[in-house]
Amino acid sequence: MTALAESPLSSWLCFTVRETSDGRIYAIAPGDAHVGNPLIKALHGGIVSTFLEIAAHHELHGALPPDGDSEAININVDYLKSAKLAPLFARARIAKIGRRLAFVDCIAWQESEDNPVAKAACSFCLVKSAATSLAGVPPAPRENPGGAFFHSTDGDS
Amino acid sequence: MIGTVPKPISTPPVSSNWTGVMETFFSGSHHLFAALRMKPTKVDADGVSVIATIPEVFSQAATGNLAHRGAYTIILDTFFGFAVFARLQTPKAIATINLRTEYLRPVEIGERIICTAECHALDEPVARVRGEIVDYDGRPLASATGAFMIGSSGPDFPAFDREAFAR
Repeated sequence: MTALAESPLSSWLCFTVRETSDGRIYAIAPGDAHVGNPLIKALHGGIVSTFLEIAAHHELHGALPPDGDSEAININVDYLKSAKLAPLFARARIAKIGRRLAFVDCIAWQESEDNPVAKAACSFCLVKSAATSLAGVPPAPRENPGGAFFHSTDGDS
Repeated sequence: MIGTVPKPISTPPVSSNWTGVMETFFSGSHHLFAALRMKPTKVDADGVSVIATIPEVFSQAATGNLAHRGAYTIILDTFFGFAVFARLQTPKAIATINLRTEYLRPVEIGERIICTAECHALDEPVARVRGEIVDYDGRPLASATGAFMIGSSGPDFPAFDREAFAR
């Protein structure tokens, strides 16, 4: 998933992955642009959520076959404490990879892994490759832009 | 708190310029909110509505012009907070407890989206918010529910001082 690591979003977040003997550790180095509450210099909840989702996605792709891809269904984030303007780390754990679905849990921390700041549960739909994934296709046009009564009848004659 | 009678929620007079307050907050020196170019169209106790733009920073090399769906969570977390302020009619310090986001449809960078939210349950210190993001054709892009802690440890927002904004 080097493409993910090189995307504009990843570089905006300064997203990095470190392989350790005890699994991957994900990190971001946030700056002023990622602050949600300027009064206490707390990171924006959406930034924490986005980071956890990227980490979950990355972990999942490490476990999928090369032509495997995934599409996020939903994400549920719990904010355990306020995240400060400081490096944020995360570890992801794959709860289950099925034939069509996958579930990944993530935990984020700052000073110490024993003192987590957020946790997330992400669900993914598995697809064959980026070409067939919804992510590779622009939003579909409206089915009947002129309403149902103006639907083409070309096939009838 | 068990056994105590809940205190009645005081309702201060409704500010005549809440939309202006929200607009100033979104477009001010705040990097993230400025990038989202949020424009409130409704700020009431029964709900808020905001027009936002998906910022460039959410682009991903692998998916062409489509934004990472994390953009939805940033926008949702932001305007859900405003739905709480609008319900309380005062900008107290709040913190997100949790946020569940359903990703319904991808969105392109630069696309304008319409976000609506209501704080449908207020039981201090917890406020619940639900809302959705749709595109300009009315197609749902994301829906979400969130819980917020009112009176979190941080200071209240002085930027929301009504008297300052009345000038």
